[in-house]
Amino acid sequence: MTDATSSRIKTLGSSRPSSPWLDALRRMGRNRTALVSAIFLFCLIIVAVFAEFTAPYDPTLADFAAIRQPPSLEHLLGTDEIGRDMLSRIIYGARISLFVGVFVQVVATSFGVLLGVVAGYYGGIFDTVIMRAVDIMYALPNFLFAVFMVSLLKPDIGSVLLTLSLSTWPFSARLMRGQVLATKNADYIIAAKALGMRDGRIIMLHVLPNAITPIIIQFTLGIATVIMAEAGLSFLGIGIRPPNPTWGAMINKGREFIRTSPHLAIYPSIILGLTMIALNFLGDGLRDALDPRMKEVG
Amino acid sequence: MLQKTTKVVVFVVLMLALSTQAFAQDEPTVLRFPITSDPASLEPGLVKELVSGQLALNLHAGLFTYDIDTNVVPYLVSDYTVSDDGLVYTFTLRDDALWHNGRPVVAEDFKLGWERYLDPSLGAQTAGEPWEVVVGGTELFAGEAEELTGVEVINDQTLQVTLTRPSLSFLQSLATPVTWVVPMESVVEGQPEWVDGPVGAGPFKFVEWTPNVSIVLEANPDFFLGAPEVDRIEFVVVPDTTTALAQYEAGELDIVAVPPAELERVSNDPVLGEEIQYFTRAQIQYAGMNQSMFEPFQDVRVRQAFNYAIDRETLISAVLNSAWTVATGLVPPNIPEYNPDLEGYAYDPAMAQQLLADAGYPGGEGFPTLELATLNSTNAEAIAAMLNANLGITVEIIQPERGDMIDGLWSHDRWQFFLFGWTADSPSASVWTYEMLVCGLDSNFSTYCNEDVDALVDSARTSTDFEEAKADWQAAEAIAMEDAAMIPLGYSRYIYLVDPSVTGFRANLFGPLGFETVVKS
Amino acid sequence: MQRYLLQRIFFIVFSLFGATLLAFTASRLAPGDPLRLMAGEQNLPQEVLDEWRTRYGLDQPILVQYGYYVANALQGDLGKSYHYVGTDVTELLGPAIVVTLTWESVAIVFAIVVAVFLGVVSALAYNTWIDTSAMTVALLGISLPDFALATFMILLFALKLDWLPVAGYETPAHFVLPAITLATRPCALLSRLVRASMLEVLHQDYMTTARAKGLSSRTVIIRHGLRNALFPVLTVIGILIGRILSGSFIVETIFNIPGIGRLGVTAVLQRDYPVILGATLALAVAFLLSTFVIDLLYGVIDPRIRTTS
Repeated sequence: MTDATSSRIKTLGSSRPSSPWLDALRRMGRNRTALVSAIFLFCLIIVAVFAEFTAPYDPTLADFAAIRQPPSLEHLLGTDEIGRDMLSRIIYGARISLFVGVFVQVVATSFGVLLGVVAGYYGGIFDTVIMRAVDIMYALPNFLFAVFMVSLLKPDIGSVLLTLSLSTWPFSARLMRGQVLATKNADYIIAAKALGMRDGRIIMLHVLPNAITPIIIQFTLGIATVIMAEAGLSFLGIGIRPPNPTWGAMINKGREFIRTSPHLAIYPSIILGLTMIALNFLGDGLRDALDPRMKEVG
Repeated sequence: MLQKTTKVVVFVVLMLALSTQAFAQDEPTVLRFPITSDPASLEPGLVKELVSGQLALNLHAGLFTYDIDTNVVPYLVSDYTVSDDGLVYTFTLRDDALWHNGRPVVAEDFKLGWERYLDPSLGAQTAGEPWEVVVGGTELFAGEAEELTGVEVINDQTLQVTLTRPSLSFLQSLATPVTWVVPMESVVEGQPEWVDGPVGAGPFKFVEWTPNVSIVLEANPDFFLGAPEVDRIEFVVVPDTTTALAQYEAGELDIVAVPPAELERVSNDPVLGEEIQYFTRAQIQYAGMNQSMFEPFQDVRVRQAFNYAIDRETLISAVLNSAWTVATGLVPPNIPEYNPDLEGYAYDPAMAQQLLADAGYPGGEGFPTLELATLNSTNAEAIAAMLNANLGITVEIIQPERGDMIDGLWSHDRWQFFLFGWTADSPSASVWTYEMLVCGLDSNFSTYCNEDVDALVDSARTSTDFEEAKADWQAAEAIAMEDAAMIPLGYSRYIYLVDPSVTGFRANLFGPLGFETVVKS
Repeated sequence: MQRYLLQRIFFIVFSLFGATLLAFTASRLAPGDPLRLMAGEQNLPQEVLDEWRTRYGLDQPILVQYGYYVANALQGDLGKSYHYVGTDVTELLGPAIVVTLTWESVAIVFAIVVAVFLGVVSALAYNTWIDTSAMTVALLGISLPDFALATFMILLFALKLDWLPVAGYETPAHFVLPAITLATRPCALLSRLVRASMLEVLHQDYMTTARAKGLSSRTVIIRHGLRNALFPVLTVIGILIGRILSGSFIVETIFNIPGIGRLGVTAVLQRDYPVILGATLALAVAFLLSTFVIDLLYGVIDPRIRTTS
């Protein structure tokens, strides 16, 4: 076991002569699924950012003579419940939905990871205080929390981001704490401590990297949850306001028409699904690339 | 622990195999009817929403009731007379009516029951209103009297009621379940809330209530109009209307309301299309323009422009699949004071633009962004799109949660522009023309004010001649339409799917009637 | 150990107070007057509303109200519902909790079993078509909205094939579709975690050592691999149980299950404060107990952890 520990410290300490980042990039390039996913996401972002040029129609323009039409050459993904072009709404919706999803996950995950590490690594009073807060947040039904936030906040995008971030961070915090507990007594960390390494360094170099996999998974999959949750908020009056399109709102609205005109819910769901799949494969690729142990397999 | 889990899994798998076969039908006929939530109360005097009202019609009976054409007809009363001055009503009760506990219904039950409803601490929904015209009613509700002096028990079968002034609506209020009573012996002393094992005199008896699941009633063999045909009714709580429809399609429910989004599919379906039944409803769907919250609405030209800019025909036919009919006034059809001559606002974008320009906003220039509050975003988005296309103004939609929405409507200080429906509890123009229009009333959500309207409404409310009152109501309504007090959109309808095995399902303006006439083969 | 247990129980009680106090404050600060909602669309005079306010104790300061609530709750009295006039909250909560625990435990077991299976298989078949397709299915599962999955299953299994009932809660056959719907998302998340943890563990040195010692590959996978891969999985199961319990509103509504999720959300919509608090309390207890068990299980897997808490 001692052998294993020392070899590990060496790898993670990145003391090799060739640049590890360059290595990672090269490994990433070899991973075909990750590459395809990256290209897909890149295209999606470009299309969304330049929506004014890429969308065939104005996303709020209603055509009451063409309501809930199935896909046609005129409307590639059909029209919605008041005759707006679905494709244009999905393209414009990507802007808000992707932004909200990624922003909330970045903030909530960073915050959660930080608190989770502190709670797990230092234990004691830190652990008690942070984890009790997590427990209370969890025990409070999300819906009630959202209704409560409505009463305190102005209905704007900032409130949406705040509400969603506040209700998301406990997930990462718990996850991270669990991971830290699992690794912090590993021999190599005890060894590092014994060698007089500072806490910050140990956390950055040894604890975090070994706990990062579930966090990456949680981060990418959570984006979908956040996008749907945003739509839930607009039912309470603080979400993004219609007629501005978001994916979550489109999918939710599609629910009413799921049996009459299923395409209203299905196309935005498929796009959301593809985005999730791409993000995940990219996440996988990222993790494999950053983790040298995977080298020989990947 | 593990063993137990294994057992549960084995049990579930076994039951799964068995249960699909376990749908054998037995002899008693059971009508399964969905309700969107549990009733708030099973007592008639505490009825406050549709579901409670529905149950009251099956469990209870009162002096009068509404028939299928929403006319007031005698129910527990076999005969009645009104004195020439319109002040003294003498009711003769049927001698064959029994409470579900077997005791005959007597005149005293009404006096005691009404006195109980006039105790403010009971929290009866009527808040004393139907008895304001009865001698001693106001005093009793205010706690200044011990007794409802205007109501006199002559004998077991005869009840005499003296009014302070003649009233056209007194019999109407007696036909509404909120004035129906329960026998005092079934009321738990000192406990205003009363839900378990309710005793009534209606066509069905209470069997069982499982909160969140169902309420079961059974036929009352001693019902004074004869025992109902179906043996049992199961009111199944199904909050989601789409689910209810699917359950109906699978034969799990006998009758179901059709959600507007599904209307197109259902009417085009060869089987379901045959099973649709439409009933007129006394409800107006409208867009309210809150004048105290949004200054431009104080200009009549702006309000008229909005009325002209909305294409009601298209909204209703294309977006709502004709679930409503186009509204031309405020009072819905089938209400006695309905005015068929009102034409309402036609769809006229050019006129709308002209009016908006006259008001100082040519092409919508300078018009502030408007917030439209709604519980149903589809209609709101359609209206926002029309206003944007025709007037060039920006409308943002806000979807408050229901409690928030209602709070804001009553307080007048939250929503500038809103979509809402206003529903009748009695077949009288006063529901709309008084409650929605009179200056200073809380229920006047648009904060509209016009002295002429107020004067006409006042005259109509105190009138003792129906035709005179009707003329006043219609005149007031016409002024409000001219003033564009609000944007009437449509009159909604009840749309039900009824299983072919079920006949005799009836509804009037207030919704489905009692199920005593329903036959299930 | 005993001290640890006592400490945990203390914290559970503490968190219960925290959660109910927060829920109490939240529900009272939220816009929407319960009395106005109780009145329906009737235009009640102010005196009646005031009378009701006094009767329900709503005229007192929030903290005083909370104090009364706690005092009564300690005697097992959670008050009476505002909406279901005259009904005890406990009478509403009891059956709802039983219902939710029953059908959701089926869903949770289902999710865990399927996820572990999928995760292990795709980790062992790393980067083959099996792996990719298993993961794609899992990801589709997570991005398909609950209601869409539910609707398609209802259309197929209930209306077209007539194998299962549409909705309701009468026979175990009624559990099947909702359990699958609810299990799909957690299952997708879990299977990815199991896969990732397995991959990580499979490449640890001790696994190589174990194999080198000649242990059969199945023994290695189960005794060493799965056991060590369990950590993040366990954490997430704990979190998911809490989330599943409180987030089952949509599924319970679509399949018309009279459970605690539906009851709780309906209560929020009606501003039925006593029921809101009762539901929060029930969910909090369930969540805190499951967290507690999970923490104990950490100790079972790795005895070193217990000593540090």
